[in-house]
Amino acid sequence: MKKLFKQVLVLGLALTMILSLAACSGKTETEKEVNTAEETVTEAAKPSEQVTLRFSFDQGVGEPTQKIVDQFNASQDKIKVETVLLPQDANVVHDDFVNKLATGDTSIDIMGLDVVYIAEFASAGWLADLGQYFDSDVTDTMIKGTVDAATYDGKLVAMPWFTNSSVLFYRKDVIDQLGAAVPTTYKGWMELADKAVGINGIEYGADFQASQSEALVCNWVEYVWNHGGDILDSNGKPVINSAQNVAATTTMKTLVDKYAPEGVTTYSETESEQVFKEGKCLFIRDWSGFWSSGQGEDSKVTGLIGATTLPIGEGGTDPHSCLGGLDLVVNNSISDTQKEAAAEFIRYMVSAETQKNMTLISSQPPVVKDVYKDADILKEIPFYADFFSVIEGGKSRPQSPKYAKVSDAIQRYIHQALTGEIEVQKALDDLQAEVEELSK
Amino acid sequence: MGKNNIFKLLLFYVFVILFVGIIVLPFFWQFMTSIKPISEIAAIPAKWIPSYLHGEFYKNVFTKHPFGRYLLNSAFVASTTTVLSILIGASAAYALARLRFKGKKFMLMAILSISMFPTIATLSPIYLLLKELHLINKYAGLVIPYITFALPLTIWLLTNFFSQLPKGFEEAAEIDGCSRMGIFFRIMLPLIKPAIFSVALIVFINAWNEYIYALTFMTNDLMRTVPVGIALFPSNYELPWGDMAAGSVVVTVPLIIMVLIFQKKIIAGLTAGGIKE
Amino acid sequence: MSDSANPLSDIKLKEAIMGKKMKKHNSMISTEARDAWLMMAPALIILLIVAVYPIIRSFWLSLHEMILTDPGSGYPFIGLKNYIKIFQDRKAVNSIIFTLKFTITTVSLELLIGFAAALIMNKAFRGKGLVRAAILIPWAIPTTVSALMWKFIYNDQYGLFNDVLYRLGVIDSYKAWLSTSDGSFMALVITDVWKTAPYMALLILAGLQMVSESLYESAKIDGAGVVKRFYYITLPMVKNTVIVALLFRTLDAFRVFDLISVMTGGANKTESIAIYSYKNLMKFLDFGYGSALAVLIFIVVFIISLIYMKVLGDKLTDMEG
Repeated sequence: MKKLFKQVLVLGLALTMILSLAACSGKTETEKEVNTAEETVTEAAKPSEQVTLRFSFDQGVGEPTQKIVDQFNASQDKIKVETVLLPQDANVVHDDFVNKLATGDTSIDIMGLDVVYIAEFASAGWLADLGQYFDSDVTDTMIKGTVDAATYDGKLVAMPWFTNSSVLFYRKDVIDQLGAAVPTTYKGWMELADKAVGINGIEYGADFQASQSEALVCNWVEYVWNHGGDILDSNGKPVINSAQNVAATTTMKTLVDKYAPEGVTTYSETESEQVFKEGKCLFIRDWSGFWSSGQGEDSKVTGLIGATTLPIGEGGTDPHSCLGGLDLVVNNSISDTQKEAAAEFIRYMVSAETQKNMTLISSQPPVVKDVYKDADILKEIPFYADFFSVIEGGKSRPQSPKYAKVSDAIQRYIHQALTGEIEVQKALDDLQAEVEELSK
Repeated sequence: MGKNNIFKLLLFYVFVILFVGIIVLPFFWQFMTSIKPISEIAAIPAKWIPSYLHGEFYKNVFTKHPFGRYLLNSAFVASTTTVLSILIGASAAYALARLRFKGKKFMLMAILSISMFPTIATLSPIYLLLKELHLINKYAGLVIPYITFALPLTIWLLTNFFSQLPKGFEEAAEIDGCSRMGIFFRIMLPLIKPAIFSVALIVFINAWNEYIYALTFMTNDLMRTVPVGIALFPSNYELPWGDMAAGSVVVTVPLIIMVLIFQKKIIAGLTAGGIKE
Repeated sequence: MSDSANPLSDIKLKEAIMGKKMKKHNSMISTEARDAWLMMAPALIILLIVAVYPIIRSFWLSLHEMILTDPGSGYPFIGLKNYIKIFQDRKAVNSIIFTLKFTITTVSLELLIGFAAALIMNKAFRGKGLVRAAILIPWAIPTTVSALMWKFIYNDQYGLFNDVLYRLGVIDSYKAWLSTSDGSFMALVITDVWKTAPYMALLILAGLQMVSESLYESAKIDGAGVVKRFYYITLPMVKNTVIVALLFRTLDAFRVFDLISVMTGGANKTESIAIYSYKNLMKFLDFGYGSALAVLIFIVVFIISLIYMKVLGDKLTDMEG
């Protein structure tokens, strides 16, 4: 605070000086007010042998992460980790990292990076190879899907930190009242929805995220997988306009047209959750964290929520959820000493003990398998007993350096198909053509 | 004042009230949101008047985050930007409008071209530049880019206003032995005072509300400005719409107060400034 | 426009003064150009340091094939190929068309409403202080906040917009305004006009303040009505200010980004050229093509500015004649 006053004082003095030039007998003179706000928040001196790391992540998990980092700093004195918080907005975080990494900046050592960007950042050469610091005994403790998603070109370029997966949350009270079983297929949910409207304030059968955004991609690929379709075949060739995918997209469109709120094509997570929390929807497809955030002070459905796997459609066998989550990555431009220290910090972050702590304070699904079976965890979040299989059955979105373009194309064509701008078949044909063009 | 005039006046007021009403409505809504209890924020159908006053959000704004510090940072950055932009800009504008030299049009276009680039394309190079100058996480690191992007507007508008002044004043001042600077500060600047206040207000508000530079160039939490501060409210656990509404009310109120204070100056027309023929 | 409307710039008066003081004046002239550059120096230095590098860098990058996820390519120089690609890229062309449509619609509405608001603010009446402050409120709210707020307002379930229209009987059920192309366009225009008309009003108001009250008085005595006074006195006097304000609004509207990115994310055919450029730069990491699009924005806006400049003529700088 004192600094600030000093700066104001300096500014005031500078202004007085400039104004004094205004006197009529004053000389012709240019102003030299380049920057009066020179002062800075000086960093406290550190012991010379201590390595300082800067760890940047977003406010999404800001508070719990800060706590864990504080614990790490208190646990030893070789490494000091400073945190740089970013807003909880995937685009803002991505762009901030890109701006820094693309210029070879070393002001950030470790980043919490969304799993979909791993391939992109790795192909640009921005991520340090963590393989040299970690043996398989670390990654073996983790859910395989998350480790695969952290591997690019055979190298471990990221360390899974926590994962996420979608679940179908439904209104237990409504199903009980109807005396129905929890459906496992889209068709079953639609039939149930026809009966449920009007019961306990239900206005809409379905609720999900279909605004033109990454959330739409997550939603759509689930329909695709759960109808037995896929985006790329095993050779990496796009197979987007397959019969299964047409059926999947048609199912989604039916839900948009007949069962979801009119504005569902403008909904991202927040908007969709709001309608469900108002008690108007039979079910919502959402990330697992909604289990707790959906039953808060502002919710009218607290205690009325059940959770199940996503439904399947014709051609589908097992339900698959879309995997999300954050990985820890290390800036490739920093020195080897820094990298070693960063690896040390990461080791701490993904140890079973820290993962358990983080899960308890953050309700983010951990990547270490054993944590799901931990008695304390199950006591706190009983829902994890079933949830583990959802996570294990989860699939990742296609991994490609060009993922951003593929995602953008999916968003545009599927959104147009859902709003009725173009026919489903044509949307998928065009999408196929565009993705083929990209994979050349 | 005849009947006709009274009717006209009435019509004028109805029009003004309607106009202002529509403009203020969203802000009024925002304000109401900031004092609603949580359960009524997204009530369906919309709830206009809260059932009771709820001050929690305002408390949150200042206790959960160093919002006071954010406000001070914003105030310092925005006012420094404003004062310097006006001084630097007005001096250049004066030269462009009233002194004789070659290449004025070219200069005006060159200055304008600064505001022709999409902000996003300038972000990364300016970051590099500020890093080289060791200005990341320093007030100057925000003030300098802000001035840069405020200058085109400042210079163009003030050039326009300077050029509308008659030449006679400088001539008279020259005889009184004033230097160029003396003329500029003592005579010309006061003459366009209303315009200066208007431009200053725009520059100030732009700097006060700027987001993406502030986010990128200030990574130290103690150096953040208010818009970034508000953007840091939401987390995976909540979209604290009430806190954000309260935050945006807290951000906007100082500006409203400022306008109320300065509006007399903005409006204190040239009749008061002394240009009467 | 008509110099005769501005007795202050009466050439004869000027000549009379200049003739008398010719000797003194000559000594000033020799130093005038030097002083001019000195007075512009701080501005020029700061613009050179901060702004020129990003611009030159973008031009330079736009001549290269530079996709950051493909460092193996070595980022070769490819001349104007990125620019040729723009014209074969339907998305780029569509985004330019949308941006032009958006710019023309919003800027003309803002001019109309801003001018009206400025005329009101310029009037002396009870409560004018409050009205002036109120009119500036929309401009004072940070865009990131106001765009979110408006997205909330247009919500199909709990939005204020639906509530108001429903209560007024304009609509018979709540609508999802942002789910259609026309609805999104309308919503974006309303929000942008709401947000920036005050800016226009403030600038025009400053222009109105430059009009001497006595001009109106003498016109009144001559029997000129409200319309006539507006047309022959107000308009010519504020014309330049209005054009400069329009110019800057046009530059801003053409680069519209935040608003669209928050409210629609470019869905329903609302992708502006700035959003498309941003996507290529930051999302696809195609710095070459993204920079070319940024330069394209620059060029289009430059041409628009030249047109404004033409309309302004020599009014801004050449007082000396």
